[in-house]
Amino acid sequence: MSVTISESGLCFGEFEESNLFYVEQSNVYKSLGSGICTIEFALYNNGDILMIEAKSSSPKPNNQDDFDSFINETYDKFAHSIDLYFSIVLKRIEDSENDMPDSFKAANYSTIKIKLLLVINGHKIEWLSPISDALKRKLKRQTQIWLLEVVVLNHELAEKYGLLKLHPKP
Amino acid sequence: MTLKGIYLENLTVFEKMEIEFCDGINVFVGENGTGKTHIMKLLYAACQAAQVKTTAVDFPQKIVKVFRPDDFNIGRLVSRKVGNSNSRIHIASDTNTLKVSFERRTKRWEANVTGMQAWEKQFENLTSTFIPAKEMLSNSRNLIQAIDKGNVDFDDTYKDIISAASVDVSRGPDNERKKKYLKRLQTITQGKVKIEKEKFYLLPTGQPQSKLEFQLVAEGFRKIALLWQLIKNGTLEKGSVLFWDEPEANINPQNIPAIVDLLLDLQEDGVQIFIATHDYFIAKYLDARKRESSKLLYHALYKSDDTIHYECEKAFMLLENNSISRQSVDLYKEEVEKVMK
Repeated sequence: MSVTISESGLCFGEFEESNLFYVEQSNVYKSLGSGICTIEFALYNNGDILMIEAKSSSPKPNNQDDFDSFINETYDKFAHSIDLYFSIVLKRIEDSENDMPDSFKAANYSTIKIKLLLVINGHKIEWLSPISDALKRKLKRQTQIWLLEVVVLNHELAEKYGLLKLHPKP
Repeated sequence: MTLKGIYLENLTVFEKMEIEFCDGINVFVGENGTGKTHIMKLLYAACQAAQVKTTAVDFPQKIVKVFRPDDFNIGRLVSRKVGNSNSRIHIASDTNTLKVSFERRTKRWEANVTGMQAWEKQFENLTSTFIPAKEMLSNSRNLIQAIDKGNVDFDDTYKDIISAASVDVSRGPDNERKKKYLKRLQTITQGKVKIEKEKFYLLPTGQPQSKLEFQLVAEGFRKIALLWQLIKNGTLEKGSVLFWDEPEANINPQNIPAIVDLLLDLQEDGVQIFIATHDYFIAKYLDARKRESSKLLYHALYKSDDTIHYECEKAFMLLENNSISRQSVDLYKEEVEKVMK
């Protein structure tokens, strides 16, 4: 069965339900209570795992306080999500409702690529580089330890790489 | 008294080109071979030609001296496209236009010139400075004589900048405006400039007995030291014109904001400025740091259908044909592609 996910003015999909882990809506995430944040969803896509966070806007880098706050908030979501994700895979936390599909649990984690994707709706490509650089610096520990990759897309690039069903005008 | 515009016909890479300038900072961007430096050299030659009574070098002759075509034949500047044999150059100020025309077979600098008298009268006291991309003060000793004798093949922009920098510093205390500029530049170069026997030296701050020959100073610092000297000796003053080719060459990005602030200050103090740049930081910082009172115009030259075209905007990112930002976007797309493939 194919599903779509609407977040931040974007329509992600269509994805096979068996390849989608809708973290934000999952019981396993909700059972953890407050103080833990998460990305929108993870996707098993062409042999890679994509951890996807969507935003409808971001502050300009020249507004330093807002920009730093944005990067920190996004960092927290990715960092917490990585911890949660591997805790489920390693069965530290019980996924009693089977929110995480088997494709994720059965993946070969010694070789699979894991990519952290931030998708910002309505952003020009030339605005993405400072956000990408700042986020990569912030996530340096995670990317080095878990061998992850970080990429920041806008709606156009997300569409180009087949992540969007259709792109509503921002 | 500023340069208002240029019109070119069948000259070098230009079929027909007309550009209007602002009184403040004019920034040329474009890929290699789109004629940015050619335009600046022509404008510079026009400014210098106004002093023909003292230099005995008129506009066509100055053109060949800054372009250095073979045998100093101005006809070699005619566009090489088939069918073109005549060139026209018009340089406009607020009240006058200096015009020159020549053919492919025109020998030396025997071109037709009109408007010279009025141009001379308007600009006879104008100071104009062209800073070439390559720093030259470290090679200054005997270079002017060598160029004049034809022993080395440098165009006049290199010779002229050495002469401009060699002018004695103004006597008396510096005014507040000068002090502001010099202090800003000294924080980067960590010293002052001194000329001794036609050689340039840097006197490091806090080491009064020490002097460093320019060859031992980092090229980026030499370039900034040159600015220091031009301000100190009164070359860059209200009413003057500055041409600066690739100001970013050899300058670390961390020093670009200080240079941009200096340019914006100079413009506010009445210096008309022309810059040709390939650098994202220079172009963006000018946009980011411009003030309410700043006058700034970006001129983009681009090639399409084998012809050079032109667009201008007051803001860098509004340019449709912006080779600098296009490249940064292309780079970003490559980075994304590498992760997403």
